[in-house]
Amino acid sequence: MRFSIYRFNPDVDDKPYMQDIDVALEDSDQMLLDALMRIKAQDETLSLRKSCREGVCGSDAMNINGKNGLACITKLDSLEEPVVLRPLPGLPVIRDLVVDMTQFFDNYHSVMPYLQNHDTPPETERLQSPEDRAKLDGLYECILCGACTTSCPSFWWNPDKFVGPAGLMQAYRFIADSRDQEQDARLENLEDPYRLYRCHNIMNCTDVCPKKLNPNAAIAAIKDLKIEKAKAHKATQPAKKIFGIKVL
Amino acid sequence: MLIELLTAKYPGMRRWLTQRLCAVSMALVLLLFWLRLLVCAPHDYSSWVAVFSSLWWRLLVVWFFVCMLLHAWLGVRDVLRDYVPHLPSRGVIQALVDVTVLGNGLAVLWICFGMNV
Repeated sequence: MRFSIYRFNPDVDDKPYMQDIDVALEDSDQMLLDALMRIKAQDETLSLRKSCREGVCGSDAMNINGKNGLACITKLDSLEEPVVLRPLPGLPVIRDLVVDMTQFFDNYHSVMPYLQNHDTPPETERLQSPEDRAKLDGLYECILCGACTTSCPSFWWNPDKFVGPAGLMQAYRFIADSRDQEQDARLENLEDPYRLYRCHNIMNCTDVCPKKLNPNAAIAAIKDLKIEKAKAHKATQPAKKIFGIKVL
Repeated sequence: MLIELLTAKYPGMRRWLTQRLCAVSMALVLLLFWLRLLVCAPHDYSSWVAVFSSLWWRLLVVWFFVCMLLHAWLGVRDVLRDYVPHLPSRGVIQALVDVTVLGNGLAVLWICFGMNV
């Protein structure tokens, strides 16, 4: 099978280049990661991240034939040759297929991705109703591989300002959590023109998510909730009148 | 409630919501126009002129274009901020966009109210 792989070793190379590689696969090689391991056995200088090899850790996210995905759950027979492999776009390349994800995780941490509850901790867990728990489905499963965020043009152009789909989905995961007590602060944290509203709903994130999640829906839900909150706040305020006429 | 969301207190929501409200406004005007055509479709020049001789229709047309130009201006502004990092170049392009949008708005006003319809 023929591959064209992005290579760059900053210690040796002046600039990146694409290396064509032919590799003889065996019947046991089913996934792209299997082929990459076989290539690495031929050329041990090839650098990539991997760990669980079953789509759980998210470390082998890369750009595969122009679309972000996980090498370990991408079937070889689904790929057109030559298989063009590049590092995740929009992040600095450390070496070959390994990118520096510092910005991605900075954005993730900026949404405070942890439960904030100021009540005295109970003896056992904090309970939720089945309905409240169901609101977290489709959110908590994110493995933070970065495939969605690095396929988003808004992140490419504003990586330090726009949180990105993965971070925003995790923001909503805690905004929607009935046990969290900082919903208002979390919404306020996303109010500037870039952090949330730079999403233009092109849905690249949803298209590439290897876990089949929908970050775009989570982002839309945050916007809807902000409007609902404003409505609820208004309902508690006395009506404003101009010349005796009630205004919105 | 919506008015508050369009104030400086909500800098992100303000732009996003303005664009959506413009889009909804345009859709409503188009729907009204479509219904008008369904009720009585103009068949020649004079009947088209008759439609737009009504002050209400002309106001609706102006409103439609105001919404469209505002919607487009907000979108182009975002695109320029993303794709043109060089500030002087962005300023020049933004100024050209501003003049074009303003010119189109004035042209619509002139067509609707300045010409002898």
